[in-house]
Amino acid sequence: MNTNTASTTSSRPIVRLTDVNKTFGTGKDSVSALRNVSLSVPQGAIYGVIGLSGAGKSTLIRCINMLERPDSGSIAVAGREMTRLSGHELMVARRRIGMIFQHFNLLNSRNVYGNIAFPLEIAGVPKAKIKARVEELIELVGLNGRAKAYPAQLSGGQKQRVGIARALANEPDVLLSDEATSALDPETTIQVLQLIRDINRRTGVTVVMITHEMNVIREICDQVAVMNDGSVVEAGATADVFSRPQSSAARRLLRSQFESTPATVIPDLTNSDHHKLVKLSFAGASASAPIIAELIRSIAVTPNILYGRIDRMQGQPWGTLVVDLAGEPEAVKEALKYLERREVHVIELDVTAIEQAKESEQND
Amino acid sequence: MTEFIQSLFTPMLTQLLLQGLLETLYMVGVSLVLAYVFGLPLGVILVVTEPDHLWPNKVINRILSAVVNIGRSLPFIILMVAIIPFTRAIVGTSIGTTAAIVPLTVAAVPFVARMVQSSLKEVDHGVIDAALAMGASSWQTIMRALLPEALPSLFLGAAVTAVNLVGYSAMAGAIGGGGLGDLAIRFGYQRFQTNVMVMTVLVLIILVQAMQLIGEWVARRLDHRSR
Repeated sequence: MNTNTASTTSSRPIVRLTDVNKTFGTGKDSVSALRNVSLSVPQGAIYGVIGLSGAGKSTLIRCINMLERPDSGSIAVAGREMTRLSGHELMVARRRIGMIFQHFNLLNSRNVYGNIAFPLEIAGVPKAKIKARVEELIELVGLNGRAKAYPAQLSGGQKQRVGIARALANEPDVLLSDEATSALDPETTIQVLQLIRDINRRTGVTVVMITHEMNVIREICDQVAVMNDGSVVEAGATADVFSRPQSSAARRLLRSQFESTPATVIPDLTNSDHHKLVKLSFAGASASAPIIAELIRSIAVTPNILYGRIDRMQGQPWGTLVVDLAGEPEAVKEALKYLERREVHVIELDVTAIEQAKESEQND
Repeated sequence: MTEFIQSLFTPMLTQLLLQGLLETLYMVGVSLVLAYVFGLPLGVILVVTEPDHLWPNKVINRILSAVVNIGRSLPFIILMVAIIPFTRAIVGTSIGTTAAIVPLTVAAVPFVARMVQSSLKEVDHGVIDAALAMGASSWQTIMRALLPEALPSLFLGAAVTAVNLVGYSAMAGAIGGGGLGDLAIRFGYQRFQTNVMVMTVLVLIILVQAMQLIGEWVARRLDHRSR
């Protein structure tokens, strides 16, 4: 497992799971939803958990607020050991953990105001204070003027805004997002994600989100854990996992996003001293600099661009190029050094692996 | 023919019908309220003791479900006679309109429990998850989320229960319970007074229609799921 942690956030974990196990059912029909899952979410981070459906991520997030009780292991949120809380202590602890859902789970019998007021009523906040807080929250999520609307009168994006306001009402330490954008169209998804990021920046609330969509992770997550078959197979800073996926599960998830494997577009090549097939990832500063042009100008290599695309990661451009570097062996080596110096992630592609990928793709 | 039509609107018949209607409304109204006082909690318990609900408890769920089924399988007329000692213990007599309320209530409680159960099961489990995740106790979840969400459906169920009680109350007439059903049996059926029979049935039809419409109207007013 990649234990790389992000440098963008403080390293004090606010959510820490240690060796969490959960099995549903008994005997032959039992399913291990979580197997020895450990992860730690730094305070203030937006932490993504990604995996295909059935990977156990939904169980994982529901264990954090004990909607699902783990069979073993420890779950600490803001220093409290959740698994050992009494009924009443758990209720109080849950008020400090907001949650938003794929299907919003709003009360149809209450309007926007009533839905956002619900967690405050539960917590016994006096009426006058509720009013002030709800109005503040309506403003925060951009639902001004819709206080009296019922959920049935709102669009999906608006419903999720109500869900977010409701989850934030008691000023939680952590916001859990259970596939919160999976029922929304792509444009609304971006808007809701931007709202979450905005709130994270403004209030400092830590966000743990599970999703099966890579673009959600790419859009806002500082760190990501990849789940497969009940285990966390990889975790680290989003940029690291995206540019250097270690696990086959991560590569599989990423393939649909970025790779659309170049294999099919790359002509038959033989790696030799005169040819080097490399995948270049540009992020941050390197994405906006004319690196290839400067490379050609300063070193005697001919980069033949075979494949390329630009995506956005956390609002920053993020480019991928597959390039065949042709030239004298010395020049090729020098070119690779140059690229690394310019903070470009360079991965030398193995031609035989590509051939295999091509075959397997054709067989798919 | 005109003579018959005139016989439908004599002051005496009107007087009888009015008294019968009031007695029916009294019996049905009181037993409906009492049936919900006992049946609503039972329905809630039937739902929340199911697996994966708020208080999963197989034993209580099975026992309660069996008791409710037994209650519902007894024919009303048998139940009414069978619980005469119980009725006498509660209201002091087993004859009359007030006495009829006891068997009506006893018969309606298991019915109400099932109606409430099916209404509450319509509520999306996600709403319960959300309430719990916000730190609501089980009690708060029931009182502030589960029941309010099911309210429109609960009112539709209440209308069905009320209509059923009107039917049962006619049988209660057999033990001197009074009401419209009693009127139809004593005058219309036993004394062959067709005019009384026709008018009683007419009033019953209007009463049932009104109950159903009121139930639906209230449900619609409370339902914010579409609009």
